[in-house]
Amino acid sequence: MPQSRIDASSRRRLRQAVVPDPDRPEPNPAPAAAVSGLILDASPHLIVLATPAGTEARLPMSDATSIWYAGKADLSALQPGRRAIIRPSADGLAAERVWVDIVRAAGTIVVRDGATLDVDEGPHRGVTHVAIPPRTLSQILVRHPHFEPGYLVDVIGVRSADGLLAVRPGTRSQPDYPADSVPRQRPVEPAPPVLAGAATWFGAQGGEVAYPALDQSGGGCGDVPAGYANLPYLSVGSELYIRNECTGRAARMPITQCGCVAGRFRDRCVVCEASPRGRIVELSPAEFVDLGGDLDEGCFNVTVRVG
Amino acid sequence: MVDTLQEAQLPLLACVLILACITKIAFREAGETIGTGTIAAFRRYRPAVIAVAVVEGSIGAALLLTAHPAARLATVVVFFVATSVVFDLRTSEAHAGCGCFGGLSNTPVRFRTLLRAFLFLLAALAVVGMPATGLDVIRAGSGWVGAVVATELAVVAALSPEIGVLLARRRERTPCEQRTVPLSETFSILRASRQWREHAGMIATADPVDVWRELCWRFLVYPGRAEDKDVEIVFAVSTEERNPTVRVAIVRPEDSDTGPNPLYALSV
Repeated sequence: MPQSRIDASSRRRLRQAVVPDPDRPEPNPAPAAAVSGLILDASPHLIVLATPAGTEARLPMSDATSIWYAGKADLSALQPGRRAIIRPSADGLAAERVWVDIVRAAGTIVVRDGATLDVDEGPHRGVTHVAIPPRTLSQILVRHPHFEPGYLVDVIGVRSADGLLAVRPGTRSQPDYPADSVPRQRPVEPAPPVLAGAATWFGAQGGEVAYPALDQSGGGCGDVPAGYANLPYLSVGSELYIRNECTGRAARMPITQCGCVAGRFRDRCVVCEASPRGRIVELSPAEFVDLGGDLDEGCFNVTVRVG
Repeated sequence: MVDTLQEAQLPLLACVLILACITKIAFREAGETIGTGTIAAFRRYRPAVIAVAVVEGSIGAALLLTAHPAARLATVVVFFVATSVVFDLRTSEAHAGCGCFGGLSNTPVRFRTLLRAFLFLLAALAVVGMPATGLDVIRAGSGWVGAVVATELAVVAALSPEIGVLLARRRERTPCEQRTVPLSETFSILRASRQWREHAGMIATADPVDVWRELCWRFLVYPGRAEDKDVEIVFAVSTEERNPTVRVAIVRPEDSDTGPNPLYALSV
């Protein structure tokens, strides 16, 4: 649940007055902003979306536009009524990549009935129903040897009438411990000034940044188990300088909610090189795409600096 | 010789039970090392853990003070249950600690932990029916008994991962940015500080209007008046375990977000 009542800019102003930041790295020029919305119309040359702000967005398509719908797809995937997230090309003039009806479920398996799951995504996100078609079941089982209630699962799929239709795993290796028995990194050492690990995305409207170690006094994570990575405590409104180490794109964004479930994963991201273990930030799809992440990959190697 | 061996078990068992009582109360188990299942649910319920600790401490004291058969029987029952629980954890929980000595027993159960529990059970069986109390044995001060107890303590130490955990805890202090700090601790530090005393007269409300934390600082904002103007008094209280510091700044409420505008700031 986004904690929008907290005024992040006011907190930043007051904190600066009493504990000034030593230095703040400036992000490189803002990348082309992702566009998301409901598909109204699509042709080989143009896609039209109804955005959440109530406006129409029109982006030219080209032969180089890549479309994802449960895998690499063609123009027939761009059916009116489906949701799309579009990454514009570097010049912002055309659609470079389009993800159609992509959704994700990452959390604890609470019920398994054959190839269907109920996944608890945390106290603030609820339970998602996941159906796994036979053609992708083996691929997901390979990455999830503990495919049973109590263990963590992460799958990426497409939206369907019955919930999430899984098409691929969202993790390279499922944690081998139950979700409520997360081991801590030992020994506990001071957090480095730049945190390194994996960034993932989650189903949310734009502008959301979730962080696993929120202090309860500042709109925190509540009474949930600690995560794997020894992350410093922060609060809703704390600013993060987030850099995609695979693309070099960076942005400064305030934390908006708790990412307690992400904190329980001890996996690595290998989109470019192998990241250190642990998920340290979760982004809403538009922010993930803005930083150069591919939603179907599920993660990117990230460094995060506080402030 | 057999009598000496039997007598030596009384102070040893009393010592172990009282130590288990103290550590269960002093070192709370972390949720992630408890594991799953019925026993784990019991161990997560703090009043139940305290009750077990009190029972163990009472039996330990009884071994020292009385030769009543009930105390000896209770000792056997306690170590039989402990051995069963440790065996169950060893076979079914790969990551859980046994909690035998509270939060110090947080490492996965290995064979040596199981062996230790079994040896304690044998020691408990050995003292059933003995006429002496633990204090009687200690007062008698036999050199042989002392040697046996010392040897057994050395064996117990070798079988106890808790000693390593305790030493590691003393070496490793949680860094301030990762310390879990209750709000009550922050308020105690703040209200005992010079900065609070110097600015308390300006503060308009008893409770802060905003509290949050970043890294090693917890921030508390109070509305107040300075030079006949409304101001915000911002305290920053460090989360250091030792020698925490307090800073204060007085800030005009923002008309627009034009950046920080402190009237003055003090740091200590």
